[in-house]
Amino acid sequence: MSSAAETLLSFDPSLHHPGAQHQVMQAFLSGRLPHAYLLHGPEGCGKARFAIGMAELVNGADDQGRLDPNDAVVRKVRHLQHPDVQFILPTPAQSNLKEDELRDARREIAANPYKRADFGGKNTFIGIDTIRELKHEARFKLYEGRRKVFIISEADTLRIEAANALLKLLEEPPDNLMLILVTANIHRMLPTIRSRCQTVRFSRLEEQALVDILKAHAPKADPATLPSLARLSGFNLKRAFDFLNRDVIKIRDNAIDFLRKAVLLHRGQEIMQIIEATTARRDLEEARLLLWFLLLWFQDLLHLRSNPDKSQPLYNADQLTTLERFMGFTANADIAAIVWDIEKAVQAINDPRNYNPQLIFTDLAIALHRHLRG
Amino acid sequence: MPKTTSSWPRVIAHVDMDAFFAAIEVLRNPELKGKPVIVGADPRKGQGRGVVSTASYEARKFGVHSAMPVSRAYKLCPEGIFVSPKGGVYGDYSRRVFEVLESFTPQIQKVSVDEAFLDLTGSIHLYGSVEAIGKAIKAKVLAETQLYASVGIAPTKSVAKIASDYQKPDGLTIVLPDQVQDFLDPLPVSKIWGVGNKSNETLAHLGIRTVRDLRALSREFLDARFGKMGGFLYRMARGIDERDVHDRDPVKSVSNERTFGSDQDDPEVIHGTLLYLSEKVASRLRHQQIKGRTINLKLRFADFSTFSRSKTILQATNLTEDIYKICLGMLETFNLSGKKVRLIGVGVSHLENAAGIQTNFLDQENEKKSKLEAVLDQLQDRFGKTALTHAQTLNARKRRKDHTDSDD
Amino acid sequence: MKFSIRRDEFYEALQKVVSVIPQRSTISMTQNILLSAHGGQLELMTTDLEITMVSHVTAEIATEGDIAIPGRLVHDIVRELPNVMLSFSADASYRAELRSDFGQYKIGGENPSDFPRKPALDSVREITLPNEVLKRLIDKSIFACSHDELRPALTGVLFELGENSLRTVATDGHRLATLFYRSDSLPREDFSAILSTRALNFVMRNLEADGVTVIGFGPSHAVAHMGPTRLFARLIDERYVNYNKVIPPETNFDLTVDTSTLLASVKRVSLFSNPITAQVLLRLMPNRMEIQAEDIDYGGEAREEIECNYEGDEFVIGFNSRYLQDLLRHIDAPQVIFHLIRPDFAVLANPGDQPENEDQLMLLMPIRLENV
Repeated sequence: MSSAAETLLSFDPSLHHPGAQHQVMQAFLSGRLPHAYLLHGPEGCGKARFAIGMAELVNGADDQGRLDPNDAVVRKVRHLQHPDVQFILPTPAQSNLKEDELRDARREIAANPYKRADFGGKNTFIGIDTIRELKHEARFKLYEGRRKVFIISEADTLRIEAANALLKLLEEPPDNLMLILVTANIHRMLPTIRSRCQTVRFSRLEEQALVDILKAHAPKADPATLPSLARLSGFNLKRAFDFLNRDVIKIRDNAIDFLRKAVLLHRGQEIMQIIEATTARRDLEEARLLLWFLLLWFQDLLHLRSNPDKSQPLYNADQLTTLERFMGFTANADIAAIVWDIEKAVQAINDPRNYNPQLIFTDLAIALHRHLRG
Repeated sequence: MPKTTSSWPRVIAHVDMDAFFAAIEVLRNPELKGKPVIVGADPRKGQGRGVVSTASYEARKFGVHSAMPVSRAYKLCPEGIFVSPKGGVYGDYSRRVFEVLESFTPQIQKVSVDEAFLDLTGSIHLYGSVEAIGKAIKAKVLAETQLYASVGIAPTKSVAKIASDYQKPDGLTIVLPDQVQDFLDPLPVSKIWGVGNKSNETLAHLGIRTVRDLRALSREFLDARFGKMGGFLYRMARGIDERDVHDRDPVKSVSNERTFGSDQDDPEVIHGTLLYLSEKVASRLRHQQIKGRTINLKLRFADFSTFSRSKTILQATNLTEDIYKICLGMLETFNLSGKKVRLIGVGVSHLENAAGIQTNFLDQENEKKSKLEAVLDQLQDRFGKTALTHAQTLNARKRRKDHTDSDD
Repeated sequence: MKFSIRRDEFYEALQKVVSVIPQRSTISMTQNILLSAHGGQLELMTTDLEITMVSHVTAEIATEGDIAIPGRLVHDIVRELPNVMLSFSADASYRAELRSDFGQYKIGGENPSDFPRKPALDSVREITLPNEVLKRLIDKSIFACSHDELRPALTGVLFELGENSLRTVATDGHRLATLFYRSDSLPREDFSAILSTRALNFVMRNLEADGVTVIGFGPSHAVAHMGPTRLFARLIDERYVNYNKVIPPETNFDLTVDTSTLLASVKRVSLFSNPITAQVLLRLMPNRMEIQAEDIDYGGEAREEIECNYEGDEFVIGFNSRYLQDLLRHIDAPQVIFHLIRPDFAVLANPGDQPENEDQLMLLMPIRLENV
């Protein structure tokens, strides 16, 4: 583009997001860092890790903004053990949470901030007690760092009383404090909070960035599968790390198989076999994933239609020939309507009182057949 | 059965007069006794437009009930005696009923002209048992007004209300704290106070008919399905109801409202009006030499959805600036983008005397502010409201074309 | 890292430091004790980020080193052991082992460099105080601290170092308590710091009755040296209210009264006060004062009369009886002197007699009355 690209400032290339790094570095070098930041963008693009990187910068970099990853202070911040850096994440209600559970979850996040915190599916939020504790901590002098940094990840899960309490802190922040709010749902944030923060926009990471991060944090995973994993997660790191526990490629292949058989519906028995196989194990997650991959498949088809030169990255790039063959099939199909039907199936499968996955998949197979065969 | 009160966290009674208007009509006209009396608009032989206010129990046997169109009531019960409602008379009787109730406890919440909640927790010891006080209430009401009441007594408001309806007329239903769940479980969900038609329908679609069915649903599911109502349903199904019996004595709150002639979304107008209302409320408080600790903000939007927010502060105030600032803070928790406001209300409750207040030297500025406001009050008294006003409200005034104000 | 130590000595130190470990914390390191073995001394450190405790004990150090180990676990194991020699070792992967004649215990430790650093005390101002003076400085002020989180500075006690003097101040806006202490052994300074009530209560609990304590004030922490233990208190980062402006320079009338008599009377009379305002009225007349309370809602009333030394105008003033009792309870002298201005102004109070090098002063704001 322009020569500006060569002069982009950065403090830690492993964090990616060069635009955001430049924005932050400029403020840091000018000595005028805002009191509050709001990092927003799609889920799983490394915002929380970036926020931790900002805390490292502010407490551990030299005045040129250079960070030594092996420096004791930088490591302390990265491990979420620095007394002046607080990392807040949504948790289940106190009454519903055991002490070890919380400690283990935090330890996992410290080791890998790209992962989703695991609380066994319980409903999580950030309550007013957490914000009160933050405010209590805010009133003391710096412990050993240069600046206090409070990171609130998934800030859109702040309960309303907690958000109000936070507002007060945002209105009159102590000089030595920097707040970093992180969210993948900026539209859910209170406008009064948004208006008091410096926003930084993040975009989806590219495939190679995801592969690098996956490799670094999951050394035992088969590196050959990582590119597919990255794509099939929708370029979402949180989801990609979730996928490491499953053979997702197999499930994706099942989805394609399901699709194939739905189109040739006279192979009714085989379709039933797939449906039974998926639903017999009563694995709701597998069923959800199958639908998710169907969605990705059709999104790829939409991309191919509008960009036949394949300029946009495809989720199912490893199945390009199958995709293209399918394109031929679906030349006249209303793909938007198909996507709608799949999304309806996703809704239905997430509805706890209507748990009849066999029915859902059968209905979907019929709908797909209708769309694709006329 | 001993009904010892030591195990009751609170003793809440719901008193519901039986077929109130109809019963009063019978009292005034004894030949109506035993006949199907229907109080409502003139049925005009089935052509009438209007509804039934209430029907005597004899009329109810024919299927007639409150809110039913009179034309239908006429069809169901052509020999019914239709009487037009006489508000003033009913008001008198209502007053007498409430006088009786006040003798049992000062904590009364008037729900309607013939319904009230009583918090008897502090009065029980005078009667010895819950049953005794229940009987005493019914007896005294009957003695003083010659009208029958059905009373429900339970540890919470919602259960007490369901209980008073359980046996009617002339009923006394007591639900002990450890009987609450057994009492609620078999009841249809429509009995829960606050479950409207829409929620009822949704629940029916889900196959939920009784409270027991409702209890089987998880909190997460209810939240997802019903949003805010979810929490309410969850609690009601379990008889959990923290609500207090509020006596809505007007002296307990000072408020002012403004309804805009045309719905507003201009922040300047909204803020200006907020300041104007804050000024009015504060001035009234100062005149009465009172202050309040809870600031209430009410917003009604163009779609008639109405929301209230409250904030209670540590030290009571009657200063415009305090009230305005707090209301502004609460206003900001509303997402106003794209919404038009129809009505704004500002109120102050939890009142206490301005005198007899612990002073605080950190509020020296507040003392000065109070003096300034007092001067403003005096000038406004002498020269009328336009003489002196905070600059912002002037703007709101200039802009305003039409609006209606109300206060209480 | 390798050292050996006798169980009793180890346990004594462990017991002290373990009391600081928080129940829950966002910084998981604070669940650990940092063990540092250097120069013949074993140092144990724990912190909850508000209070940090460092304790020393002599040990036979074979190899120097540091490690962070789970605090409660080590404390509990050592507690259950009899007074034998214990040997502790840790390898480069922070795997620790505790051995005794009974057996061995393997403990997973963590990198000591991730532990919060010991508070830096460069540019430290040090003072030495007799323990009973320190106790008094804290005791006579801490009760007046605020609990309102909106004004963080007032939730702590102000320590002001001046010319050979130290003053503590605490207030919540309704009452103020301050004790001034002068001594040639104190340095000449112009410095102040705010310490949290939690840290001060901790100091009070661990203070010996006799002896002296050295207190240091650094940029972010204050430290109290209590024998082999150092207690660090993190300072509150806000400017304290200008209390001098609040204390009236002149007063009109003086009232001298027997402290315990007045306190007993207020206690009795306040039983009849309105439970929310806790209001009592003091009516002053020549050499007599009346203490009165009434609760209009319930129709109770109490009235008592006691002797006093008062030659001013007739004066009626209202107080929150709880604050008044707090004030009187912290006056050690047999008599208390009140300095009055007007019924709607603050009142000052001090003990009838105090040590020469001390000056205790209290301020109490009245309850504004209707028409009395």
